[in-house]
Amino acid sequence: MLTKNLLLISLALLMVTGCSNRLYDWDGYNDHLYNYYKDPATADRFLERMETHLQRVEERGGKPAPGLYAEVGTLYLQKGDQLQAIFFYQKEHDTWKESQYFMTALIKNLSQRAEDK
Amino acid sequence: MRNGNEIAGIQTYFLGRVSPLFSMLLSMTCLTLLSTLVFVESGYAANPSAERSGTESAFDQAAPSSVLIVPVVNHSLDVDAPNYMLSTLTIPLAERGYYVFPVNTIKIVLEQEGFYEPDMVHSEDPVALAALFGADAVLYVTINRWDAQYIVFSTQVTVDFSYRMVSSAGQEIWTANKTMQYTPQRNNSSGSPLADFLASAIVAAIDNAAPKYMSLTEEANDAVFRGGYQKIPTGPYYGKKW
Repeated sequence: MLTKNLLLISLALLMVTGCSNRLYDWDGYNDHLYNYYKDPATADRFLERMETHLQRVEERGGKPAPGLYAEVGTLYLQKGDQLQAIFFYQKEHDTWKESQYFMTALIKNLSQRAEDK
Repeated sequence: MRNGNEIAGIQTYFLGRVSPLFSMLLSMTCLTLLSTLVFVESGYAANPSAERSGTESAFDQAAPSSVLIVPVVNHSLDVDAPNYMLSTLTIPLAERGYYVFPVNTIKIVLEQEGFYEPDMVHSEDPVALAALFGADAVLYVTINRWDAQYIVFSTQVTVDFSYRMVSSAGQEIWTANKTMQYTPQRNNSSGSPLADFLASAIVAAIDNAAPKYMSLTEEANDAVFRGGYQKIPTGPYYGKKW
């Protein structure tokens, strides 16, 4: 009887948690972005956290959430690191076909700027 | 609903083997549980197209895969509100199954292009805007209210948003409005108006309004993207196991 009850409860829990499963692991992207807007001095921490997160997702063969590579690229760009920015824009490009048009334009623009220097 | 039937099956299995009183209690528990589960499940599993009208909607015709969220227009007095709002939109929309363009990257690129004010972006031709980034649809959000009113006995926090999605062809494919309000509840009255007033003043002071904005905003987004009649239909990545 107890086991049946437990079975039912665990089934219920499974369903409930199954429901709350997300498509992606965001690792607090929204909170980091919020903090960054509240205090731009948190940019470095934001960049670090997202980059580490993306590495972890890659290591376990997961699919990174849309836009995260590009956001990391932009944070690098704001630090003046164009090469890293291009590197991450390229990753976004290769991960999401919907981003290709935009990322190609960004990369082309940055490469041109680098050449002009 | 498949899961619901599975539960019902287990319940029947139970009832054949236990005492009447216990089985009654048990069935009540199971029914509560069952209805809760069905309720929870239906919130996720319901097919959005099933509850819309018979003719194919503008949304289905546009069938966007990617959504460009542009900076938020602010009609409140809080200058930080639009950026805070912007930070809450990506996750619920992407979890609905769409590619969502990186909001901060978009914001910075637009600023570099000279669009410093969100109003400027919102009044730009949506077809040109979508084409600039290669997006299938553009989501415009406007903050109508984002304020705390200090009423005699408590602080009432209100957020109010308008949402509007336009296809890359320039057609409006989805709109929603949502108001969310929070008023701290104080249950027990002491019978003395002065004592009540002082207690309320303390409640209002302790119950800082600031963090409430974000949870109200998240609730509002969730309610319009995922709940109710006018929710956003699920996108191509919905239900994907990567």
